[in-house]
Amino acid sequence: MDLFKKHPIAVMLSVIFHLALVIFFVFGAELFNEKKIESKPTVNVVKATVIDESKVKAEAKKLKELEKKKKLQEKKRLEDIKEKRLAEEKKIADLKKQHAEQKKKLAQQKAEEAAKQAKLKQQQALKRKKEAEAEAEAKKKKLAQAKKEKERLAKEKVAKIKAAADAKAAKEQAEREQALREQLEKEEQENQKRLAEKAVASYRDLIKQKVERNWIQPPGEIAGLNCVVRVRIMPGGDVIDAQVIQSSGNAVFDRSVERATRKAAPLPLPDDPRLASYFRILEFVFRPGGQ
Amino acid sequence: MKRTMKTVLLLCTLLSFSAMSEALRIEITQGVSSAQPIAIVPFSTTQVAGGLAIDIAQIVSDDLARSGRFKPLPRTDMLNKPTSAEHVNFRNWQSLGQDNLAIGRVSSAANGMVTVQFQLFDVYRGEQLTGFSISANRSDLRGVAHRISDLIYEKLTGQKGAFSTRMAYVTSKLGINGQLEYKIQVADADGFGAKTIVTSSEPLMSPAWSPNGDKISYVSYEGRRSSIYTQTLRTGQREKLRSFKGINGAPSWSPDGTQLALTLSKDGSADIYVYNVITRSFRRLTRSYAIDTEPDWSPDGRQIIFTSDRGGKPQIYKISANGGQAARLTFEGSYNARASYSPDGKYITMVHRVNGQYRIATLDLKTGFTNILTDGKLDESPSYAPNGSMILYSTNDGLKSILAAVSSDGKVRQKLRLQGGEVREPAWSPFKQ
Repeated sequence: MDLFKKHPIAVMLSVIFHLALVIFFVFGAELFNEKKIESKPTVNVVKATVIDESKVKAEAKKLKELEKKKKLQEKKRLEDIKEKRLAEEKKIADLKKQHAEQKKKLAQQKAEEAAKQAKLKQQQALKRKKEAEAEAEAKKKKLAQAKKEKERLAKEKVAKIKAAADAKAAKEQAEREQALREQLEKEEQENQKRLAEKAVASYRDLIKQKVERNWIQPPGEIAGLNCVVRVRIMPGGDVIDAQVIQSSGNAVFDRSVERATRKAAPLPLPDDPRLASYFRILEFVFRPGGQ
Repeated sequence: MKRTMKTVLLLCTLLSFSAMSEALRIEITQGVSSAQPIAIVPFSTTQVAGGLAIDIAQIVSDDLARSGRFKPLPRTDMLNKPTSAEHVNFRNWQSLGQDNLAIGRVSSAANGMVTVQFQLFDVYRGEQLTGFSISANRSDLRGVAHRISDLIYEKLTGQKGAFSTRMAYVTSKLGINGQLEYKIQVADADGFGAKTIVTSSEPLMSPAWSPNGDKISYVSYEGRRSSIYTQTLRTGQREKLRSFKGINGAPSWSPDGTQLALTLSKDGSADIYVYNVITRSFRRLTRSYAIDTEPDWSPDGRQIIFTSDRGGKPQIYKISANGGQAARLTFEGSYNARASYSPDGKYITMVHRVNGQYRIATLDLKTGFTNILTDGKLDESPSYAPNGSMILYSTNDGLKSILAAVSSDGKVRQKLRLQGGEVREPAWSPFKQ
């Protein structure tokens, strides 16, 4: 097809020629034979009819002349035929020669074509090879590039990880420092708180002792009873009011513990007003026998 | 700058701390078992025609003091003596360390009766806890006073007062003829108003109250033989139970008053029998070669505890009132005897020997824990008050036997001074029916 595209006229001609050649080989001989058969009747269709002597003589002369003529004619015809045959033979020879030439030419053409094809093939192979090579080269290149990219990415990744690790380390460091600072602050706070708690606890103990001294336990079974008294304290330690906020269910018990908180007044309070502020509202949990 | 920061920090801490515990919680796990201070102001008698021979406030004070649970304020310490609420200044009584205050008034009523009004105040709360108005005969004012004592006691301790109850006990002293004279007496719980219900030249023993307090059973050796008598207090009429050869002793009334547990030795050794008051029949409860004696009924009437030496030494055993197998209750010490149930049935009190000395102890039936309440050498015959708060017993004061009372937790002990020589075997009455 490529060939057709490249040399349309040559190909067409070649095709037509080939076709003609084929037709000739197939039908050529038959054509000549037919002509041979057709010539026979022409030779055999001679008829003669005798009418009188004169006539016949004339006729015979005529006939003789005719015969002569005919003979001449025949001779000529034969000569013609011979000539024709010769011509034909020549023509056939020519044709044969031509054919051979054609064939030769065709063979040559074919050879040329083959050579061309081979060349083409070679070229194509070459091209393919080249292409393959190019492709391989490209592939190689691509691979190399990919490798390079990969390496680059890996490098980047490493860099990134490193950066992240660095950032993390930095962050951790910062956090550690922050934690340390917070720890110190917390410790400071806790220290303050501890001091405050300690002071509060010691006053709490004093208050507890004073309330316990003032709590006359009611007789009978009181273990298990539980009563909570909320007491509001004046700055001097006096009781503003005392209220049972969680009853034990035993009125005598409740009254005894409420009274204990009232009787314990004035409660010992720290002088430091900030510490004393813890003691404005106290909740006494009376839980006899409990720990 | 740093200083400021520090101050801010401290303030923050304090704030957070105070926010954390808005109200400081303080746990109180113990108090004191001391007596409650109470002021009992002499009752006004200006409205009584002819005045009063008895001092109600003093009787109440003595009752409460004797219980061991109260410490009445001496009158001489009182700043003023209000007789009506509007004259009460609670601050005064607070400054005197008083928890409670009782005031009262007596006025004449119709038909020679008097009306006694009294009020009880909580000094620290500044409010009235209770108030009563009681009409009574002039002759019954001691009873009214005990009634007031009961009301105050119940209000302030949560337990029913036992001041209106009585006790029976045995006295013995040399008579005019140089002979020992035995008596069973019944007195108010404060020892006043003692009345002799029976006198004998032979020993009298083991007085036992009927459950509604109208009769007393006891053992008498009159005729030199022991017999059990049941005497109705109101009439003085007494009935002798059929007596048997040997011991007839230690009567104890069943809580429903239909049966009497006692000790008989008619079949050999001393055993516990049950006498049915209605059918007048005896039923043998224990059957042992040892001495079984001193029965006492559980408050629900289902069990009977008694003393037995079946194990070699006297110990307390328990048996179903219907009979059956006896189970030993006491395992601590080599001598436990004369047991009786507390009114709630949770404890028994008994004589417990420790280091050769006889003391009053309680046994917690639930835990098996023995609690020694007294420290005498020869303490005997424990008897629970009907409210379970105290135990009467006899103890030796020098060479003389007297009565004493101990609170059931052993914390308060008090000797009772009674007329009549040697006093022993007290029996606390049930609540008045």
